[in-house]
Amino acid sequence: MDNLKHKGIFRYFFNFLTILSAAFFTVLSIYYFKSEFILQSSFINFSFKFNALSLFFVIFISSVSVFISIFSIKYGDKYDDKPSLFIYSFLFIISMLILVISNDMLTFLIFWELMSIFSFLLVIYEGNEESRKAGFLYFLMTHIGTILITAAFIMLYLKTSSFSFDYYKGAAGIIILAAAITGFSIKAGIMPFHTWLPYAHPVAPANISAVMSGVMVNMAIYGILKFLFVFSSGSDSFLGIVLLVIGALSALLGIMYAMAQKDIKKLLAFSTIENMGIIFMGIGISYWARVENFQSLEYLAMAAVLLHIINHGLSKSSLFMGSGLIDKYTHTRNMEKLGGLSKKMGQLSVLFLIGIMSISAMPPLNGFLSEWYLYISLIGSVFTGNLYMVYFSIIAIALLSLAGAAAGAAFTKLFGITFLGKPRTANAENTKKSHIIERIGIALPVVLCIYIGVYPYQIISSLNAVIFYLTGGTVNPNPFTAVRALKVHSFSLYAPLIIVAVFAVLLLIIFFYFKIFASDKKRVFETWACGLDEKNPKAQYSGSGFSSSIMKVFSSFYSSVSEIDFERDVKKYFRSKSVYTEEVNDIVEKYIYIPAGKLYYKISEIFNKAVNSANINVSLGYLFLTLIVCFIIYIFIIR
Amino acid sequence: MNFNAQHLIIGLIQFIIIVMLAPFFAGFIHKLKQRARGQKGINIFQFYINFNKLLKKELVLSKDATFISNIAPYIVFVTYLIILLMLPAFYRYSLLGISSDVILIAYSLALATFFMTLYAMDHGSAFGGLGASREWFLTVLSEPSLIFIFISLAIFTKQGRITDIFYVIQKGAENAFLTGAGSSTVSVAIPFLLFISLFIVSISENARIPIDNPETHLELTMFHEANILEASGKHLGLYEYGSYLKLTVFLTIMSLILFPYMAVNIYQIPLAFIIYVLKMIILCIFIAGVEIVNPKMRVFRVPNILSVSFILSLIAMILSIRRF
Repeated sequence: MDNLKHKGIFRYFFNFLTILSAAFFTVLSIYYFKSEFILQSSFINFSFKFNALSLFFVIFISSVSVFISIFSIKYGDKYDDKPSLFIYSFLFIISMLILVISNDMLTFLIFWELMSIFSFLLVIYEGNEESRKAGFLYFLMTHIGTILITAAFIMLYLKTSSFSFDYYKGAAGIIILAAAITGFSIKAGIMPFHTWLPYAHPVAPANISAVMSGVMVNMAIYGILKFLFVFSSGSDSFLGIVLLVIGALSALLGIMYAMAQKDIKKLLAFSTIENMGIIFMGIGISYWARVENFQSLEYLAMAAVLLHIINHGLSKSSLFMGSGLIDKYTHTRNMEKLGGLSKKMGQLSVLFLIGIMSISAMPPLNGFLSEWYLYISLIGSVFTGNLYMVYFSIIAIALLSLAGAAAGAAFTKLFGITFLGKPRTANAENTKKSHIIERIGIALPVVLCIYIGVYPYQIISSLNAVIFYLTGGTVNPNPFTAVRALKVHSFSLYAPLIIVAVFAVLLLIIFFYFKIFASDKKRVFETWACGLDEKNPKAQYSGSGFSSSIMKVFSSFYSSVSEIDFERDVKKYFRSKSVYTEEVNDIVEKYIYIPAGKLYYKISEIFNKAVNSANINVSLGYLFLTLIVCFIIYIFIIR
Repeated sequence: MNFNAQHLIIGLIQFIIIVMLAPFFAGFIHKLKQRARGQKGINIFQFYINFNKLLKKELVLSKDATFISNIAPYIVFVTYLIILLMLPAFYRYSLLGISSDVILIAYSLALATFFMTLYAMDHGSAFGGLGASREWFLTVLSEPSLIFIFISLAIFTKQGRITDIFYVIQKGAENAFLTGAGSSTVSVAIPFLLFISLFIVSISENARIPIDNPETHLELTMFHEANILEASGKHLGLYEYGSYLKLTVFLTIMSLILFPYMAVNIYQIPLAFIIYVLKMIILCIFIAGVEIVNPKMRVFRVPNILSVSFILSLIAMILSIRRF
């Protein structure tokens, strides 16, 4: 590739191709809405169907990937030496687009697998030790998930003896649902299965992390929605409660771990776990209400789910793109080495701030809207009076409110340490301004975040088609009256447009009041540092210091190891240096995965000793035994 | 809810009166505390004078300050104004009562905290970071109980708007008082528990003594003050006034839980206003009393008292669920 004159040709070609094919798929699915077609080949038939759910996901995937492609037209120039990135990312996005319109299980599984493989290739793209390790973990976990999903589909096939999704309606029983949900949860990074996510998402290039975190994890949600709301026979309401509780735990633990991170992209990856948890909570409530016949609650929770998919996709992809720019121009992702970026990267910091406000659910942005819908659904499920649901909804409310506040803390830390204050190292100080195209790529989702937050009526009325497809009902497009259906008086309460208008009026009043009554004098002076004239930027508050007090209170969630290293023979006030290291480990990883891995090694060692010997006669004996067993199986079971 | 011009106008007047009264309540608490300690004490209207003085002063910004410093004080102040616009105080309707969702109020408080802490970190001073860290530490601990308080009120009354919540409580109490018959919206235990729980949350959110001391500038004790240490001139004025507004928000909600009496028509307003001010003064005396008798608490003992508040609000929620 080095002899190419125009190095960026792959970058331009494949990014434009992604944009074009996203547009093509959107037009295709709108034009052929509610129709289906089959691509026949010699050995396999690919069948596709365009329904409301797939239209929603096609539009979602295409718009987010268009933003990311615009971003990577310029951002990708540091990867020109190895242009396979652009080819893989194009194929990755295409396989997701085909995945959501596929209408039979073979097509679905083939493109699911293609999606996993291309994302795996993108995770190991950088080729260093860290990315290979993460890639292996991702490959392993995602295939365990695929096995479960395949098993679920095979069981469906055995039940209906058809490959087509059309025959699966109402066919899935509890075992099939459990297998499928577990499989998809691995892809979504839900709490006990999340371990791969914080490794795999940060090591990929930022535009890929944006696709993986903003879009790919939602493919798992697509699968779950398909299984729970289309294929399910609809008889096991406790599954909804399980999803609610697991989702709430994921939301809380995800954000608690996010708070402990120093790496910007790792923080964002943990926040993805939190948001997937929030989506799971909504799915749980909606499914439970579906089985227990609380229609309006079902529609409402579904609206929360779909809105949160959009909101999380938009804000997370913009934040990952922003973190990519930070990485590109400062060459570090460690926020303890950054600081003061707002000076040099002014516009980026504004975009990043809005993205952060959206993802930490600050009103009036879109993140708050979906979280508000979820709160109302939780209150609605308390009103149902079902003993179990009331019990678990209260727990979920507590966990969600804790997670909401912790998200505020985690993202204040991210923005404050990275963008504000003084630059902590030369890297942060010598950063350059990003390119305008890169900023446009980030600005587009951010503008959509503001739009959905302030004027949600349009998007909710469009979502109603999807809600109708999944649940058979709709919500009122006006969040103002959305909840009236809950059979609770005037439970209708959020009018973002009015709030924003009043906010603007009040700002204007204060502005004019200050113009008249306040002094205009202004002086710029250095920050008061208790009279010391030391110019040490490291004397600022650090990121780990910021989160340490919260982590201390919730220390049971973490297993952290901290160590102070100093010169012991020197007296306390004369030490030239002391080194503090802190390592925060994931408790799930520590107490489940590592023991499980050790157990696996132990068992395989025992097995190895028993079975594998150097003696050729023994091996031949095993071969003979195997043949006999196969023969017996053939005679007595298959025939 | 009707879009009635009369409601909107009285709602606006109510809002203006509360905003005007806010520094008075803060000053009254301060004065009480000083008198109890045997000091002569400030003028009760000192905080108005302070605000005016701060507006006239020069604004000093740090060299490291970014756009955050220029917008944060305004956003914090206006957010508190918005919350006050949603609250009913002595009239049943408020100007933004139409969109006065309880969860919106809780998250708006978080929005104000968000911008105040960003302001704190904007100047590259270690104090700011410390203040921001501690502020979020408190918010993370008190947010669940605040949301639980609000949601148990919502479940208790089956209403989502804060204006309707207190109206239903008031109606229930009135009916019970007039007819002697209990109804589903009358309870002694739930408001009592919620009141105590909210009192604890208010003390922590408003930087009051067992948890924080707004009068000192000692790095060991600062929570709220560390955030606004670098603020000066009109920015400091906005933050100070904002803290009075926040105190008033919490006191008003407490006063409505304590004794829900709001005017439903124009003739009841004078009585309702007098009762409102009386309730606020009683609450101010409560708060001053707590501040006088308690020493400041160690930072890592704060979670204990906040978890007490959380448990109380949880009990209140369980009680309110039992009612249907």
